[in-house]
Amino acid sequence: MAPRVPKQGNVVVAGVGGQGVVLAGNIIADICLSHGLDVKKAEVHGMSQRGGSVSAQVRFGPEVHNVVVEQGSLQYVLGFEWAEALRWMPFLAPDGIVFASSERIVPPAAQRNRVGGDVSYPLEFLEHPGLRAVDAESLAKEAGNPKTAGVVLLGALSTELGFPVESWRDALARWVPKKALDANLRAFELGRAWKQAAPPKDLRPQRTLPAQFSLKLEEAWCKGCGICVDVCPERIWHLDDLEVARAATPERCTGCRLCEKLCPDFAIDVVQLQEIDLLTLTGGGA
Amino acid sequence: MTTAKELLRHEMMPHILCPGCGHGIVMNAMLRVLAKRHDNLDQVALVAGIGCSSRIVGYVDANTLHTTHGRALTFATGLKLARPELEVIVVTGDGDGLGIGGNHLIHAARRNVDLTCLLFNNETYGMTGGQLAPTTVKQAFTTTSPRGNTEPNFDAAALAKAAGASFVARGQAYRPDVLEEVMERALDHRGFSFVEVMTDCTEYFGRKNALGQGSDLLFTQSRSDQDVSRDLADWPTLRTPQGWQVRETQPLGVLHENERPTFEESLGLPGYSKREV
Ligand SMILES: Cc1ncc(C[n+]2csc(CCOP(=O)(O)OP(=O)(O)O)c2C)c(N)n1
Ligand code: SF4
Ligand code: SF4
Ligand code: SF4
Ligand SMILES: [Mg+2]
Repeated sequence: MAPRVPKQGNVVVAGVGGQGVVLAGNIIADICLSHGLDVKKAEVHGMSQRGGSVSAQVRFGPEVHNVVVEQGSLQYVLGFEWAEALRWMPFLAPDGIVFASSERIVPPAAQRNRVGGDVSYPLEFLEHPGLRAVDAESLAKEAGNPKTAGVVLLGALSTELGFPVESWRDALARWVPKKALDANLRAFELGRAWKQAAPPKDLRPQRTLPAQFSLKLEEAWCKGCGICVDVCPERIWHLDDLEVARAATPERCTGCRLCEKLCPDFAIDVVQLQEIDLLTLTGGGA
Repeated sequence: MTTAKELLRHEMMPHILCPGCGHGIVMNAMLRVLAKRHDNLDQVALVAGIGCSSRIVGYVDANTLHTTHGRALTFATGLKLARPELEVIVVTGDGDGLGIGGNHLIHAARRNVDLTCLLFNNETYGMTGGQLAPTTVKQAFTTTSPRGNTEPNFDAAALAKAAGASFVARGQAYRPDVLEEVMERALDHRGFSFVEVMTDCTEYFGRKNALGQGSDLLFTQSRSDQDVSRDLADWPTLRTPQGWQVRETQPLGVLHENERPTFEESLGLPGYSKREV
């Protein structure tokens, strides 16, 4: 089937600082421009102490006035980091598609290095029919350069977005450094291959998944300093009228334990209830 | 596995520290490290002087000694010689360990007594109302430097190294995982291990220097991700609203480590070899 150039659409690339989020946004915008579309692009660089969120929104069409993607209308999310991808789920259109790297990066306050980590994700999102976890990290290594994980995701996106594959390759050649181009093109192909080989997502209603973490608060010990409120990357805690911490949305807890570690009063316990496997659950395993 | 919380004296909680006090965060990291190493703290002794930082040992279910101001290291040295099999940790503040007790610090380092000294550096005398400490950086405001400090400050880690400490490291309340790693390595080390932990007094230092409270003050310790990934983050350069620098740039992580005979070994102390890590 010959790819049909899309008339209009939008993509959000989400990740953390240093992952090439802005570059990926530029590549997508460039492809749209090369097909004569009008493009608006917005970038947000978060405060590094809050997890270093970086996102790029790209909107394209015959004529685009507004840079910001509205809630419920987001078509594609490329998540270079798992938790960052999930932050965009509420914006997703019902038939929206998310390709998210299963890599999880602990926010900087807790980290030793920016690798690995004990972070998970809210469960409600996992059941979204459009969400797929990709082991982009391994595929990038296979391509010969671990920094190409984002391009693996661009490869996956290229199978959905409709622009001719040559446009993608040309844009890559324009944007990535020459000496890294081969690895990037390999990563792009691996991303495409992953998408084409991935079985359709099992859309039968899932058994209800129990929460993975429970948050316990020793009320009498909490002094209302607000540290948990500000360090939680998922914004779960708030202070009530009596200046006592409350978990408003405990089901969103990713288990990063920042609140537990940074509470000066030992008031918070993050208890792990169970572990689940991302790739299997979202049909992303090859 | 034991949790940090299980090592507290629950009947003593909540502790006396002010809301958001950085000492609580450091204490939390210290107990997580101890919980990883021990089921209970019967073979651990925490020895402290006087100060908000020193006060924390009263909340830990270990063998604890709350001694006189500045003298924790002397009590700890005596304890160590009498009970060489114990893991002895000295908890001290910058006022306690570098002001009134500075002399004991350099001699404990020189002797290479096999203990771990955690110095909570909040750049002030918190407990007595936020006075100038030997660690207060130039131009910072304290109760006794209302026009800004004019004296240069000690670099505690450099001082300990020069005095002969065989392990020297620096951690930070803002980076609990780096802090845990540094503390673990300090406890593993045989000989005098000195860990300077940068922390914050919200009540005085934070307020007087307009650095904010709670998380705002904590976040003033942050630096770029690149620094952390090299395991060598810096204490940020931070300025007061008047434009004065109150946060100096300092390296974090293990700064010095060598092997030399401990005080106990030099004495040929019987029973010492029992403390095998
Ligand atoms: C001999 C003696 N001199 C003075 C004091 C008063 N005093 C109590 S705590 C303290 C300073 C503590 O400062 P630091 O060790 O930095 O502890 P912080 O409260 O800042 O954690 C002083 C001077 C005392 N208790 N004993
Ligand atoms: S960090 Fe701890 S003491 Fe501070 S508000 Fe949160 S639960 Fe309460
Ligand atoms: S509640 Fe605590 S453990 Fe859960 S996501 Fe927030 S900071 Fe992390
Ligand atoms: S006075 Fe300062 S150091 Fe002491 S408990 Fe309060 S905030 Fe902490
Ligand atoms: Mg002090």
